[in-house]
Amino acid sequence: MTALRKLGSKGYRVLRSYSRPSHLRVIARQLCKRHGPVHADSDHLEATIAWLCRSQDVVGGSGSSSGYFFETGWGPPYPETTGYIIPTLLRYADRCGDSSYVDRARSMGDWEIDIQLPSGAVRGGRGINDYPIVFNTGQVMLGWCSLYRVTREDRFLAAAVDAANWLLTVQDADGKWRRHSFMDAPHAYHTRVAWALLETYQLAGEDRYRHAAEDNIKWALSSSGRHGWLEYMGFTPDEASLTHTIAYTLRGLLESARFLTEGTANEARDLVLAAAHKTLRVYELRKRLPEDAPAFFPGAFAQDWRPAHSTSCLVGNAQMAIVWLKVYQLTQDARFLNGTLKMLDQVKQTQDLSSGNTGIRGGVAGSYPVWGPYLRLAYPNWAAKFFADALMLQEALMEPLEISRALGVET
Amino acid sequence: MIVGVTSDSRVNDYATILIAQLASRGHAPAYVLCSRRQARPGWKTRFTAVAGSSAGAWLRRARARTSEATQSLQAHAEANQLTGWDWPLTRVCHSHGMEFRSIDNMNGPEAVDYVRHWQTDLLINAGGGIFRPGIIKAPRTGILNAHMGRLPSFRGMNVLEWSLLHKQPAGVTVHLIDRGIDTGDTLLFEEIAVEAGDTIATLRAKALVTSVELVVRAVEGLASSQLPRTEQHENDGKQYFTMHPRLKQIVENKLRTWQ
Repeated sequence: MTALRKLGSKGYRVLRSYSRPSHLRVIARQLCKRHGPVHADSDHLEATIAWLCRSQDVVGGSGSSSGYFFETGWGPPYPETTGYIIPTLLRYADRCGDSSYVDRARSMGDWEIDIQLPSGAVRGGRGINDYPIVFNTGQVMLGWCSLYRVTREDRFLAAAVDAANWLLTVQDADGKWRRHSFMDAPHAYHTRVAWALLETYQLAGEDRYRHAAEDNIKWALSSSGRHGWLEYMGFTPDEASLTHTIAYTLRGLLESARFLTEGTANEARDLVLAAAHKTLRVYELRKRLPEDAPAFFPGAFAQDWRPAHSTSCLVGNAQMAIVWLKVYQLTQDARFLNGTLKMLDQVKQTQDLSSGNTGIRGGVAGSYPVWGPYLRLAYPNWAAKFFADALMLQEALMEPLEISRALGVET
Repeated sequence: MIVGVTSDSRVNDYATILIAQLASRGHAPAYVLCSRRQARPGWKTRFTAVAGSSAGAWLRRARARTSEATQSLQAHAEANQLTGWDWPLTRVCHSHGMEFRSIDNMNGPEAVDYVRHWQTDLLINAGGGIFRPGIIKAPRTGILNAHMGRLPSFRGMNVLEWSLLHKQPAGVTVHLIDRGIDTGDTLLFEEIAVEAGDTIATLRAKALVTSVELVVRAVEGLASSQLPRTEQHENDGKQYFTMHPRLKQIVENKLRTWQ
């Protein structure tokens, strides 16, 4: 009976995936390779933020739903990603001067405190689970630190400090985290955890956090290869690394470099620059003729930057766009800005701003095509988060160029 | 010196004027090698290429009116008393006693053998896509190309626009093609003046005319062995890619107040 029930349930989910008109519309358009229009950054940004707000409202107004899934609808709240959606909402609040987004972020931060494990760690997985995960802990720390910076409410810093203390207790002597790690493996993308430790160090003044972060960065850099490649960027060592986790790694290195000792900081930045150059080149050369637009960025890479997926990871594309924009800020090499404009236009083309389905309207799918292997037939909340971040950063960097050139003012 | 010209279309104003100017200076090419991928142009282009047709002539005039590049080439041809500037290449070849050869693939064995058969000294790129090692090595001196940017600083695509975005001189470099992207030995560079009222389109048109003049000078220089070659190093410059319309708009705005 249990097997029958399971079969019935799976059958229902499959039926749900492929029978709803709004789902079929997405699938059909992408089968026919029909892309949506590209609107202004602000239009896509507003739609994405509206989707993020909806993701919070559908689960009761505290955390953010893990996403909208063709099979099952809206998912349970996801502690890890709720944590790093907080800075996105705060940034948006600052951009538009609307404090209601601060209130939303505060609700998320308080929910995270309510479900924080007694050890100080953040729970793993989607929904409320009992096990801690290192990476997730780091992401929520980023949220708490951002909230403390904006609100100066001590409980957020206190929560981040508790989390930081736990991270130090489970870190290996060589700087990596293996215990309480996804798949029980060390990951180079824990550089984002190092970043979180450094943000907490900045606010709390605890030198131990800085040392622990630097140890992790050094461990990650110890496996560097050609053109900025790092081992352990993926979920497991024997499979290709998703652009999602690659971009996690690179962003963690870049942000951490602001707080590290000079030698390590330079090494981290140099590696990110090398990786950014390589990935930009891979992207820009994905075309039949030089004058063509590039094809979508590959969803994963194997050793030494060999493209490993024919589909695209839209989350990774938005994240890589942020890395390129940060590199543009560092180097003023406008080729990175150029590549980002194209990459984000492609993500825009996949975003439906008018769907009647609130889980799709303004959301960003995990993969392109939507049936690709990363978050198949789903719109994860972290895709929306990173797309919103990328659009805000792009807007901020383009605005002075577009205004000054229009006025004929040299900047 | 045996010179050949490549083209990716039977209708190619740039190639036509180049050939006419080379011929007027005593360096008429021996042949045109046209890749068949676009050797059969679409109905519009074929229609407008019909000589003597009043509708074709009207469409040519209409095209000339709408294309900055075509207008510039036409003005250049008239200033230099070059006839047949808008003829199809088959007619141009016939009038200059040149051979016109269609091939499937500019990088295929047919093209390589043809170039070698002529004991070609120099091939001039007037269209033909990316050249691979086989065809690059076929002519004795090499393949000449006019690049719309200063080398080695600006390699790749839309380099005129990229130069302007970086407030660097716009211009044309004539260089020999090698396996890399715009990394071959450079021969000549000429700057293009940006004047009041210029747009990207008008500057591209000026660059096209400059390309013709510079290629002719390069051919003359190579023929007399008096043109020095400057080697490029891979790390000397950057490769640029097609420019996003938003950045192009920034360049257009910049041109309005260019100093």
